[in-house]
Amino acid sequence: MTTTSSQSVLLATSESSLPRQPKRAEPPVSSGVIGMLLFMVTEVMFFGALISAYLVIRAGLDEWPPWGQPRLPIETTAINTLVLLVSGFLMSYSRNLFKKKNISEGRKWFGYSILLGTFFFISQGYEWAQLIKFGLTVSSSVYGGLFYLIIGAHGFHVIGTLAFLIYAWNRLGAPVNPITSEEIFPVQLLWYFVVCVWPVLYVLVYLD
Amino acid sequence: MALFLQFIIVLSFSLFPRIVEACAVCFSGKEESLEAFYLTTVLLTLLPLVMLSLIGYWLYRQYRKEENVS
Repeated sequence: MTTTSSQSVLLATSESSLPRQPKRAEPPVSSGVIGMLLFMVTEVMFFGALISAYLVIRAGLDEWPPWGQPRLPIETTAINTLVLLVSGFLMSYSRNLFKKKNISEGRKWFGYSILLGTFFFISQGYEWAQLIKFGLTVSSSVYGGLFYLIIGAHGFHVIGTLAFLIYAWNRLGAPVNPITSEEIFPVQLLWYFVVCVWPVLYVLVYLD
Repeated sequence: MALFLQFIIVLSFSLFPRIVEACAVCFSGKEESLEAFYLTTVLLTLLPLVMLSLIGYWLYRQYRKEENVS
């Protein structure tokens, strides 16, 4: 059997005939992590702007919180804050397990972290429902407006990040097209951000 | 000639200086408001510089560490 000219070209350019290419070195920091860090910078600026607006408006008023407005539930939110911090700690623990290649155990603690985050979100939602019932709404006063703006912005971040985390948890170790523990690190970083920004908001809006 | 006249007119404004207060709130507000404005201005100015510097330094350290290993 003779080979035609087109077949011989194909053979000549097949993978086996090409000189071996040097393997491309992995960068020390993945593009996903760098991208997420830059995104977090914009997020810090976003919350920085909200906090600035809060401080300036508050400084201009004689009475804070304004008379006749319901007081915020400090104790319940303190427990919620603790729950969110534990969630962040568990996320960090799962990350350590992923680093040690203990994927199944890491996935388990990753899941617990998501559960605590979901508890925080539901609990905050219940708190909002109670506050609305007591008359604190966006239009009731500048106090209510700022409260729902700042805490609501954080709530949107919580639910958005949780959606990504649940997706990542589901795909981690999936039989078809799974994602690796390294690939979910940027989303874990975002969760650290969401967890870390909350105590600042709690002290500022609830305690101060 | 017209350009020269325009230049002279604009230059003549400098003979009658006045204080311009661009932001009415900054200068007529309460002392607490002024402090809050200054504080938040400093905060928002320094935040991106500090954060980007930290990220840049961290990346530099990671790449240096990688170079030393290989």
